[in-house]
Amino acid sequence: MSRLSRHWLPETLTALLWILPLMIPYGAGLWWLYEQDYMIHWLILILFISLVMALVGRIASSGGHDIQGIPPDENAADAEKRARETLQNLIDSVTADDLDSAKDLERLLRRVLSAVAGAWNPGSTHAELRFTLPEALALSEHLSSRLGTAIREDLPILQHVQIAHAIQINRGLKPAQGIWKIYRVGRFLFNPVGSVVAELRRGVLQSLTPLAVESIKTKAAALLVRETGESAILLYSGRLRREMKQLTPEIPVLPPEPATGPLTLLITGKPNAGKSSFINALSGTSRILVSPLPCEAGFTPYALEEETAGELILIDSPGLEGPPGNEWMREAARADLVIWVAAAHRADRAVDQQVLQALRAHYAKAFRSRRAPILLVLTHCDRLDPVSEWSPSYDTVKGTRPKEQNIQAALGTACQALGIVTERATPVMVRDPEKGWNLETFWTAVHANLSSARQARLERLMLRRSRMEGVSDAVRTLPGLIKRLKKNGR
Amino acid sequence: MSNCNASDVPVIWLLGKAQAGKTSIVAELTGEARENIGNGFQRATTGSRVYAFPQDQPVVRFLDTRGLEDEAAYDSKTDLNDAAAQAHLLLAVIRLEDSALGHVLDVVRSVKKRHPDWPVLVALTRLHDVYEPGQSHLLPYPFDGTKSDLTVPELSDDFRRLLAAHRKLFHDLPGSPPEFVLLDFTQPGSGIAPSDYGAAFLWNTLARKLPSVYEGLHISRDPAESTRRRVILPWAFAAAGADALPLPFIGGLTSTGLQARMVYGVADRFGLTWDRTIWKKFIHLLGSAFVARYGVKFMLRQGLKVLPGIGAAAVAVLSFGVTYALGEAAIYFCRELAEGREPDRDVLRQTYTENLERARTIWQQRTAGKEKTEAS
Repeated sequence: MSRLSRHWLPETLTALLWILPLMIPYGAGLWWLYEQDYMIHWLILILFISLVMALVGRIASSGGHDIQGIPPDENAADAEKRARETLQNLIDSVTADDLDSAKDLERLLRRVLSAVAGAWNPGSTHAELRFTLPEALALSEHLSSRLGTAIREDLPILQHVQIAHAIQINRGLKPAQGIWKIYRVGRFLFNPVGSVVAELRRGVLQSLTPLAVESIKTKAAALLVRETGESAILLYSGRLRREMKQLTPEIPVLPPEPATGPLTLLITGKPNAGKSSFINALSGTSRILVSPLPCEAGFTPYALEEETAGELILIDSPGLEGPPGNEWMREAARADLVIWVAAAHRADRAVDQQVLQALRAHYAKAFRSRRAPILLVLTHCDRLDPVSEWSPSYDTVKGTRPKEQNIQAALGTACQALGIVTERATPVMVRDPEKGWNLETFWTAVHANLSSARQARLERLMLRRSRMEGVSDAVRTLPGLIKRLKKNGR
Repeated sequence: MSNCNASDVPVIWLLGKAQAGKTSIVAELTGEARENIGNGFQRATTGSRVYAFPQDQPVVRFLDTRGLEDEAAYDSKTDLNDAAAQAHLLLAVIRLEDSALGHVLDVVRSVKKRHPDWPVLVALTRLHDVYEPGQSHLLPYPFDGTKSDLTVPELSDDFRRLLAAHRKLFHDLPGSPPEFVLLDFTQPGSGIAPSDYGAAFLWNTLARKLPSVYEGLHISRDPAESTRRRVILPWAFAAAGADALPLPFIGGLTSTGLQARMVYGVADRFGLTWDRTIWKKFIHLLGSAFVARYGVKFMLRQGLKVLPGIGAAAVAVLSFGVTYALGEAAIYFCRELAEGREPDRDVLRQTYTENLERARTIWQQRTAGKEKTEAS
């Protein structure tokens, strides 16, 4: 096969498939497809052939594929982590057989959808159907554009195929299928397009070496699983809904864009861990109490301006002597970054563990939204042996002096006990607020987690907002409904 | 850990959070278990241990229980019930800075409810955590375990507030009120001297509470050896770290200097009174010019330039050597006085010069060890 023909063959074939039903006058071909419940099969076949054809010149003839799912980041919602894990398993396990027929492909995509939907709605019998019609439409837009972008280079033809339509029709209109069953009787009696497509497919496949077909099919299946999975994650996580809302102009007035507001840092720990000294050291003499910000009793908010992070609100928490109470949980639940402050020279970590366990349990319960990053600040490093010595600078990574080694060891021990990675932990010394030691390292850790904190904040606020909007949309729908009912009654 | 068949031997139960200093106290009182002391930030005792002392014919046993609240998963109930069934005296070990004592107090209270007659000692440890930067131990040891501890004049407000807080926490226990012992046991190299601050008072309290135990433990103490480790070495390291010219060369050896405070500590160990006249007598007999002369010789042999601009390393080794040698001389001096003899000048001087050499070896071993770790 010449380079030229190989390049043009798939597009010609696909174009033919597209044009065929349209060529029957007045859209009758399309109508027939629709009536016969063949729209899906038509689309899937076009897609399938496109994939096979376009990949043929590019993929090595070895078996298997090198498609990798997109890994979740550390702070992703638990539901998303679960969904991506299942997706990766699906991607790893796809075989060429999954694209053997339209039926197989449909089954594969169905598995993707139910895997993702199940992660967000565990135990729900109709998890896959948990979206609205507008969402399904938006999904189709998103999926087609995403597929187009993601694999434009490998499969230029895919820019013109919206897999979403297949999913949308198959899933979104499923409740209506009962009515269509009446038409199904005649379905197999006359299906010229279907047989043409089948003939074409057979012809194409026979022109390729069997090994290459296997490899291409596997890779295409993996690619399909990944892209469909990504779109499904958008759909079931509610992100799609949020994007839609942002585009709709007539949404009622809401509080100002929350993601751009100051981030909230909860500074918390056991009594005498050094929380207040730490806040003093961070803010220096310019400590400003934020009066209008409502807080739980005992919590004190301070405003702070930092070069990179911008405006911040630090919330000083009362010391915890045991598992946290409701006030603390509420404050922690609305913090964008949780800074756990602990003394370096202590070994009793039971309370620290209890609190962080409670916080992680809260995150696991709110598994639909991202978790706020938890950073560890290890204070009182001067009290590590040799206790009479405090002459920084100290190298907390590679230093070999006794003090340096003890700081490293204390940091490692605390991180292990509290389940926090060392990149998120900073040893500090803040006895003198004017000359806090190692605060730059703390800020570096904050900066590294800024985007994650902002994302968590956005998702948390959006989730709350969408609940509010549910009520407001219902209220706005009601008057129109009543009017219409009145009209009908008359 | 041995011979637990002597069931009439009293058992002292050490109770406290992880790294409060329980094992350090056992080590101070028995000379054993030193290797089981932690580093302050990592739990060390993971199960209950019994230290019989002396091992072959115990007069006392120490029940060293696992630190409370070391991790969330530790349910201490069984351990504590076992301990309560064996003990005769409860020694609660608490860091002075730690007043979040809910769990410890619960245990002490329930023990006292069942055994109102048990004496309870509260050891407040790691005093230096509450010191201001640069502050050192108050000497002579000013605390006596009573309310008057709160009115010791040199205490910082924080220190006083914490002392009062702990008294209040233990104030409403059933039975006899607990006694407070302020302790600070540190590593000799930590730069805080002496490294067994409050040990003598702990011994005295024990003597009052459990006289038989005190006798048994005290007989086996070697004052010279323990003085060397707990008093002289810590002071010598503190002098080396003080970053100042040793006193023989500027202003002479004064009765308020670091070396003088060491000698008071040595005298205290041998049962002599804490008194300036001891220092004066000691330095008079030895001769301050003699001290200085040998100090210079010592340094010249070290091969380091003396003046001008004495290097930091030279200062450190000289301070260490002179202080250590003075300490050894003080041991001889105090032992003679304690046993009612008049110390001999020649023996005293000989002890000083010999120990200058010994100090050099100790210092070299220490710095060699340090270099080894740095190289690796």
